[in-house]
Amino acid sequence: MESRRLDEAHGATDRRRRPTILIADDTTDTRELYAEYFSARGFAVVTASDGAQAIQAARDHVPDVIVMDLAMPQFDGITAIRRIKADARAQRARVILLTGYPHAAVERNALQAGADRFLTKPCLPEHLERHVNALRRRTRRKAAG
Amino acid sequence: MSPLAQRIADAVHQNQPRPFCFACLAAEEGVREHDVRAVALVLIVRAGLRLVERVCSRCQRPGETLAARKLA
Repeated sequence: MESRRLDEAHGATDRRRRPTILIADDTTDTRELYAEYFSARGFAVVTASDGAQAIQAARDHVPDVIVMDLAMPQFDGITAIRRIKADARAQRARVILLTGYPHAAVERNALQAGADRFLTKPCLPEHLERHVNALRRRTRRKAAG
Repeated sequence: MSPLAQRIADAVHQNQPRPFCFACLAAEEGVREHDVRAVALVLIVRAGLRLVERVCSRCQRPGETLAARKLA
């Protein structure tokens, strides 16, 4: 398991309370920048730098929200989403596909694969957080019945 | 910051005040649009560039462009 969890010092009790976000992006700067931001905003952050790591991290950590890049090594983001949505445990994670390909066909494929949102790069952390929190609210409403 | 990010930052400063959309900025630099979009975030957050809605001075289409931060 090569994906990285950034909050190991916080302990198990804290991890249970904090929402978990998986940032999957092969661009180091992007991954680190979002990880720093969401960590500071109270999230437990897991990172992955390719599609295979993202799938494994989703299975291992079952994050509340996954921010998935499209173009990554091993598996592209859409393949990774399909595999995550086919996994009995990981499929509960909400997924945002974040891509530098602002094309309707890519958006259609992403949504068909199971993505909840489609956003284009560059996406400022504050803007991304609004979408992340909207998806978390949707999950809570669904759980409440 | 990656070499590509530095190159795009330099291009934005050199093009100033003419805004280029991501597709045209990529074409000018001979790289792919999604690579420019991928490095844009770090340029905005860490290198002082801004994301602004403008008409591209190359293709004349309105849309998001990168611009140097205004000086006070």
